[in-house]
Amino acid sequence: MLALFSLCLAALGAALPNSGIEPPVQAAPDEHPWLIQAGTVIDAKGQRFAPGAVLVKDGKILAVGTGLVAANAKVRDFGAHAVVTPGLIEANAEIESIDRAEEGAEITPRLRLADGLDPESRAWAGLRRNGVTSAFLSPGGRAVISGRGAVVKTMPTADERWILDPAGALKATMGQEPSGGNIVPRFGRPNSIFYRRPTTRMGVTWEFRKAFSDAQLYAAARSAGGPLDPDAQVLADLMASKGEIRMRARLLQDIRTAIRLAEEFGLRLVIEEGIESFRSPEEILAAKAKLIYGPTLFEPAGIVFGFGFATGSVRQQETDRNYLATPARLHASGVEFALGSADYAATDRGLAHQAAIAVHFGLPREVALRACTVVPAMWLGIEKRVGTLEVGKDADLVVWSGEPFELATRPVAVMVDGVFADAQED
Amino acid sequence: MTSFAELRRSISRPSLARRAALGLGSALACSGALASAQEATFALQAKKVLTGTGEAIESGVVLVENGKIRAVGAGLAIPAGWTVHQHDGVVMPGLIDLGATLGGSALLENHESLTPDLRVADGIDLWDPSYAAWLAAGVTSVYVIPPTGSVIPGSGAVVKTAGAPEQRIVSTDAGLEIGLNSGARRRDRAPTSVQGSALALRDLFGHQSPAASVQRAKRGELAVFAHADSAGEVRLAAQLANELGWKARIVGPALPDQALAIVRGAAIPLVLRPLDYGVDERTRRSYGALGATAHPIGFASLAQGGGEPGLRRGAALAVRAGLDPAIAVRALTGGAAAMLGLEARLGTLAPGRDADLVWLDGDPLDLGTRIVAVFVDGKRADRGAEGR
Amino acid sequence: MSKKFLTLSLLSLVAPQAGAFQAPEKLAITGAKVITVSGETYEKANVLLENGRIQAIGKDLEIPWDAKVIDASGKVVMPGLVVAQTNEGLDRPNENVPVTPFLSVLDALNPVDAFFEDSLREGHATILVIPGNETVIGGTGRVVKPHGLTVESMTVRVDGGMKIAASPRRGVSAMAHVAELRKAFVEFRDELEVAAEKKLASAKNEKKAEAPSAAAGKADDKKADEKKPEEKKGDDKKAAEKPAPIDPLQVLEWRDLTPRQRALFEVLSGRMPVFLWCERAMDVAHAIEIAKSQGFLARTTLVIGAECWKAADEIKAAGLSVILPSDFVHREIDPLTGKERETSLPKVFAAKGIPFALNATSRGALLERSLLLRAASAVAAGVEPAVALRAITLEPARMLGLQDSHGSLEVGKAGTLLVLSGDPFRSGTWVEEVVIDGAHLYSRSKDDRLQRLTGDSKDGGR
Repeated sequence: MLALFSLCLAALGAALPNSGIEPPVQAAPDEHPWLIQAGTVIDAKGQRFAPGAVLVKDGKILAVGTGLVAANAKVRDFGAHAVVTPGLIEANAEIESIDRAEEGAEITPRLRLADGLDPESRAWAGLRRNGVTSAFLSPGGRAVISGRGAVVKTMPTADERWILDPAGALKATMGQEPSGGNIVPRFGRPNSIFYRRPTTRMGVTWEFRKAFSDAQLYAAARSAGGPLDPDAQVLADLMASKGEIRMRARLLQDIRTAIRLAEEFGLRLVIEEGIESFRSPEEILAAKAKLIYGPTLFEPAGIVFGFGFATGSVRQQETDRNYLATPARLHASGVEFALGSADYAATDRGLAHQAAIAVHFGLPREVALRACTVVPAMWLGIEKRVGTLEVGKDADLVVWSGEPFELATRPVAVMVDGVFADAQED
Repeated sequence: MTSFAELRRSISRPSLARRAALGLGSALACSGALASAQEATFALQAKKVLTGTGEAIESGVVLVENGKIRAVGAGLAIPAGWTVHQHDGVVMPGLIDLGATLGGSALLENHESLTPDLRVADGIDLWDPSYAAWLAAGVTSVYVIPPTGSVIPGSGAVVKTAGAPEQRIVSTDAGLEIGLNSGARRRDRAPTSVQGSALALRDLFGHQSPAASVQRAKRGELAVFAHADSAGEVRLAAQLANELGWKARIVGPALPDQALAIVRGAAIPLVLRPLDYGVDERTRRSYGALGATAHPIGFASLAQGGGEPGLRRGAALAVRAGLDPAIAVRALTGGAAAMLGLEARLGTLAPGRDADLVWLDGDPLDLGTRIVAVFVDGKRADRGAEGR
Repeated sequence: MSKKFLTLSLLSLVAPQAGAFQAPEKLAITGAKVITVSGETYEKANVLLENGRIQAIGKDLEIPWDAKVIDASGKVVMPGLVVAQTNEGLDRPNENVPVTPFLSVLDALNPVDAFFEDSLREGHATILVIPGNETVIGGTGRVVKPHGLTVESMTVRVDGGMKIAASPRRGVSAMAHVAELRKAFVEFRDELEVAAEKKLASAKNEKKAEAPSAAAGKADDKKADEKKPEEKKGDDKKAAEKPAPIDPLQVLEWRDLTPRQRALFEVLSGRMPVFLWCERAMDVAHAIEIAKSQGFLARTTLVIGAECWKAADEIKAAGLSVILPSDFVHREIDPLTGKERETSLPKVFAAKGIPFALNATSRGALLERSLLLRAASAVAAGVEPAVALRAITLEPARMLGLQDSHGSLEVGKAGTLLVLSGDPFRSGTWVEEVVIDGAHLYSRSKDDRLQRLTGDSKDGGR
């Protein structure tokens, strides 16, 4: 990583501040383009080149196809078995580079996850090992409205170039999680900041509804010359622009609550995790909600599942209702979805694994690829730069040891913005 | 006891008596042993004089007059009648610790996370025994900071380690302390996260804060010492500095070369923890990777009272890892003074500067080197002064 | 412990007990790609089982008119998978006394544990259930098949192996643990020596007295111990006259031993396989040293933790095989770079040519539950598919001493096989049918619980 930093610095001459989704500062011109050859190249636009090659220069794709030649190129041939796909896009990553989620209050719409990003976190290598080159980093679920996520490339640069969107979608959490650590004062004096609402599912929903209806009142008062409330302003602006709210909702009842709330306040809904979405894909379709499904974690003990007592953490209680064929079911029901691995994103149960499980349990392979590339790119608003292998797009790609999303293959090399970071960095 | 308001006046106003003394100095010539070197004027002759700017003068002479340095150089004419102290060693400026909570047991304020109104100068205990320990280690000035357990614990003061109490406070408001490191956050007090800290700071600096320290920091009059350990915290510190107009210094990054890569563009000075034995190889290499950096660096013991500063050892170990020795010496002296905005008084041996000197029997970055004597404001202040 | 089983074990008899499953006399699996593991892979071949054993494998086999037929056209047939060791299916894995070589899983195995149902579903057809690793000497395991209502009817092999731990159990220092292990063997050998001397002495007395009563010969241990002081003195004198040392392992026979002593005696005699647990690389050297000095190195298999890849050279030099942990990736932070370093154990052991078996756990992540998926992961990590396949069939069978009857499809071997829906390492491949000892015991089409989970059931899992 340090080498990388110095490389980038050397390349740029000086650190240039940059943010937003504007095209990045042009990286230093490569003297020689990369020619990446493999048995198969899948461009995620419906084309397969066998044998195929990708020509990369200055962090961008110069050409994709069969029989490419470049006189002065550095050639890296991965062999006949290898398959090249676009870099995967993790639509829901909750990583540990932020030492702690903000727990000081339940409604913190102005918080930006981007402020806490650590370029030296080991999470980036973990994401890359899953073939992930771009990711939406989602704030933790300890608050009802916990702030804005960030969209990043998984290879940090010394400057801010790797942050594609420092102010991503606003995140909210339904279900038991936000109320998890709060305490009901029964005896004695409240001596902790966790003596507060909500302590129930109802309370969580109420906090959300209160924040937005207060913001409606505020907006009216503000237009009449009232004082500024920066938190309410964020929510009022969101409603005025019919903006996007990202709701983590696992159980069906929470999904329904999320749909209801989004409708109530005129927001576009993105459902995170959606563990029980298989129970009612029609409702998700009807609500026109974007669904980021996953992670699939445990096979319930003895496969006898859904019976027995819920034990363990809130997370486990909510995700134990996993249904292994959910992606296949969603697809069959006509729901377009992206795959996400939440807090497993940087582990070996990350996106590559999630997609492999989805395929193993019946999701067509090309749908799985879309759910990890084109769909999330579109939903995150970065489709002009990433998601497919196309001329002019960022040179983000994954080389797999065989057919992608097979249980017996893995990413062997990952390129982000034209720079190789071998997945097995040994 | 003198009030702090008076103290401050006495610090800021140039002393008439001092000016008068300048003229008289040469007439008062006397000789005496180093042990009782309490003359108003004297000369130090050493094999080597390190000026604190990175420069070394072989067989140099330092002329001290009424607590100030009159001249430094090789082959200087020593005024007639002046006592001359000769030693086969090295003379250098007194070391500066860029962050320590000395005499700070009464300073802990922890029920709120942002307390920009608090000033160390209002609660400092100049009689705390740790000052003697710092002095014995060659440290003549300490930037005393409030305990770093919250996002804004308050502002720090620069204090000499010896001298008459009313003259020891060099600056009552030398910098505003800001904690972005994990030690500054607690789970039971908002903000609990680094992004929460960022929001709280933006709010504080974005609105009309009544705190004078915040106002001065916004105008760039007061340096901001932002404590940041990880690369992410360093990144945030640099970002906030840019955004909120801080004259920032980044304190305590775990891996200095990594921090350097992040702040280089922004030219934010780095205050490093002294390297110690027992740190991992990665940290050691990171200090060494600074090499002959042109980037301003200094050292802070970040001690919470007690023990010893470990500054000279820390710098020596960093040199052993690869840091340029001249840069290390400057970081301990002149570079540190510049970070506090006190370069006109402290940190270098030049005419008019405070005569805060350390006399060692060899290279300061040699761990076998002993401190022979320490002078604060031209007066020998180490234990040996009374002992022999 | 019944005498019948012990006799069986002594003779190393492994016989499929067809009767318990009411297996048809003849079963034919037709039209499949047959992966024999030990030999060639046939396309569109038939496998013929008779009386629980493989009668023939080939392309144009004639199917007997009275054989039951499983049509496996377009599918893949492979040997039943072998679980090299597990402590599941027991109520709890270890007694809380550290030295318990006399325990046997016979007394704790629960035939209706959900573990066995899951095992059958995953195609784990032969399983060594053995005490866990929280022990010094843990007790005897047993090789079973995941079907049957009594332990006896499940049993494939009685003396499955002895669990010994070279790694400290929780709350005990490594030094204390290894000392305890050594002491257990020293004390046991002392015990055997006394018993051997006693036996020799009584044999002499018998000769002298010429008319020993049968009852005296069978005197129980306590009485014998009470008599000991006088006799021992006499023995000491004789020992001084005859310097040739007694080898209790030669002198003593199985019937001379108390039930407490028998299992460990089998270990020292080299007749019982030993499964030696090493959690960390540092434990491997102790394990090898102890196995060598106690004479059971040749029967030893190491059950290793992820860090033990660092001791691969020592393992290879000792000629040992290893059973990998279900999570076979070792992760370590490089102190110099701060980066996480991952080492995939199968890759390391395959590269060094050390025989290894993969292992699964029913308590882990999705991919760690099935040997087939573990093998796929090993292939993903860079292991040759053929090696990965052996690591879930023939290698573990060899570790269990079952290489002549299990682990591959060969004429004369047990009729234990799987029908897969496709290539074993391909995503979406399922275990369709499981046949154990000629009995067709599992059919995915009839697995209601699985169908519920995968959406094949009528209510779609809702």
